[in-house]
Amino acid sequence: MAGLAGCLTTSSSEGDADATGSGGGDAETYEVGYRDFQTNIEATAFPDMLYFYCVQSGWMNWPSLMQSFEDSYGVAVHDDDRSSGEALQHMRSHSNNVTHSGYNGGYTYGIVARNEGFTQAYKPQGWDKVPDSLKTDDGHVTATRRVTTAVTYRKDIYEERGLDEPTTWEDLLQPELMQDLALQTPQAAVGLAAALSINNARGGSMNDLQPVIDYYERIQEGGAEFTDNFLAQFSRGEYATFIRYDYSGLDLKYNNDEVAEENVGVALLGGENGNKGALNMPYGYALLEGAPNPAAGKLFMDYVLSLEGQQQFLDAYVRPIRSSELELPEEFIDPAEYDRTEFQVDYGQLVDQQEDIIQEITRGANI
Amino acid sequence: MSDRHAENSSLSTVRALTARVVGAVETVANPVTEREREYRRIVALCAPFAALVLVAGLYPLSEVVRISVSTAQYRSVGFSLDAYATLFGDPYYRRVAFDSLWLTTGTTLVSVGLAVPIAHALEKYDLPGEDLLVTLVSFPISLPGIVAAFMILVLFGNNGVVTAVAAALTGSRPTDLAFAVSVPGLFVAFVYSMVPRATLILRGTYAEVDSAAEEAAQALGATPFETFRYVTLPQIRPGITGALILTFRTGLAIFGTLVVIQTLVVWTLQLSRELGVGYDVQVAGAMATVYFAFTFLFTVLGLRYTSAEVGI
Repeated sequence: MAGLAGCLTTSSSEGDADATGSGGGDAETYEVGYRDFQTNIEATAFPDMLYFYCVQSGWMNWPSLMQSFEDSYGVAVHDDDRSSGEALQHMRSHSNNVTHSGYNGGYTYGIVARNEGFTQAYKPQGWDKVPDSLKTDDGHVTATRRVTTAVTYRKDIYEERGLDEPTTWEDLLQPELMQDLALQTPQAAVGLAAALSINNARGGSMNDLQPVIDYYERIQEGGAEFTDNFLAQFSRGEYATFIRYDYSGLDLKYNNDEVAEENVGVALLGGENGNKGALNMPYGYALLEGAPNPAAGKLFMDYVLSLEGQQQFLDAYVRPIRSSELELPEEFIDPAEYDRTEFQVDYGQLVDQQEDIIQEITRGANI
Repeated sequence: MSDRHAENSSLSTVRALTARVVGAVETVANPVTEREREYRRIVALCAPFAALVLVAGLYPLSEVVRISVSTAQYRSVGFSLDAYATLFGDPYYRRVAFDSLWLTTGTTLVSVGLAVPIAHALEKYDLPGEDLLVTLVSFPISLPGIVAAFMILVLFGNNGVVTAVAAALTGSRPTDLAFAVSVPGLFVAFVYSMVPRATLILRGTYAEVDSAAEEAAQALGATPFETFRYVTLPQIRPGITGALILTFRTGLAIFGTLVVIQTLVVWTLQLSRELGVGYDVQVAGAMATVYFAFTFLFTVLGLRYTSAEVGI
């Protein structure tokens, strides 16, 4: 793993290309891109600073990716602190003066950007390794990592109550479990993922949301609560179970001192009859139309999808899109559990329908 | 207006008006009489507020109204009443409005009901540590609603202090008693934020009560309650009305509390949801416009038909 360089100089790490940053008169070239998109780029074309939406510190281990990329190629990446929605807003308001070379963030927001004409086609090396449902055929938007709906629970409280580890959404309907369960409304992306997971597990689809509406009515009667702030309450025992993503649960388990590691369980749930019940919410990137630095942007995209780049997501418990080729750390949920439960939807359709879906669920279940 | 005569007359009207404005400005700039100097002082004193109303009040408000009738999402163009059609046509919004109104009305009555004895005690008796009491009573004003919600959780949640004590006393399970994340919990959180505001207004009212009349009533053999009922209450009634109006408006504006305790979708929460996924800014603008019109009319009518004195 790279990323351990001591000081910032213009020299790069051993063994890799010997770029001398920008302004050098050398003719260092790199080969990037997949098949039709294969191209050679010159180091002389690199900027001092690459602007890429939402590549930022404090999120999914980007700082170490940014650092190791800079160590390898001498290109610093701007710390771009914003949400996917804010990136989209910024794109729209700067459409005639493009400031960023690429977009990185929620995959569905990438699809929106593509639909509005802000992106261009580029397939990085390793594009073929990304599952078909997690990239657009035209090469505009490609997922680089994914988070999955999961249930995080207090093992110690479950033991007291004599509850087993949940494996299906049906299990959560036990009165002893529903009484202090917390989840988020579908207005939040994480809440929408939870709703679609439950819906799929119980036989619904994006065009039939009744299963999740019924489920939400039942758990509300049983004492479950919709709230946006429950991490603190979880460690205090206010809630014994919450529905979020796998990485938020694992992060709480291993990186939080308030509640002991062995007292936290993270589980992926399926349906009663073998239906899948853990939706992947992908995050990805896209090269932007009119990018100021397309060459450096492509190089960065290739780096993020390389195994060296992918490996670094694991440190934040985020599952890289090429996880099947990597050795997952001990702390991760068993890959067999992912195989049992995870599923994807047509994310283009999700983008088109999400407003109606959210409205139907919130009004139907009176949330 | 196409004919010349009308055009001329309208022009002269404009001229006359301009002349009057210029005259008024000159009067303020170079006052001659004492009355004009007084006039100038009034204008000078009101200028900062007038500027504020213009910049921070009327301008944003007109923008919000403009957005609500726009046909595009990110620019204010065209004219369409679709957002209002949605707002008044969709029964869902009627339910949201109804929920907001009953919750706010209920919490207002309870808050003012609690504030009357608090203000009474603070004004009528020399209480030990009165300054501390006043601070305690008024401090929730400075708390954001989100904090108030967390305090309710800490007290009445599944793991709350009051819940634990009650469970120990009754022998039932804490999760059966916890009501923080429910409509009653929301109700308590609202009251918690609203009582101090009502109390502050009533304290001012109590300070103006004529105590000689009260003493006379007592001397004539009236019980303390009779004194309150027939002497004090008529005097504080305008203050109570004022407290009701102001507290009601406060309750309608609460938002932070609802972020934590999302058990009832009220107007402010729905407005923020409109701005979330889908970013339905027209409906949000229409909701804001309706909200403003409602509170404005409510206040104007409230002041008109009562003798309340509410400036704010």
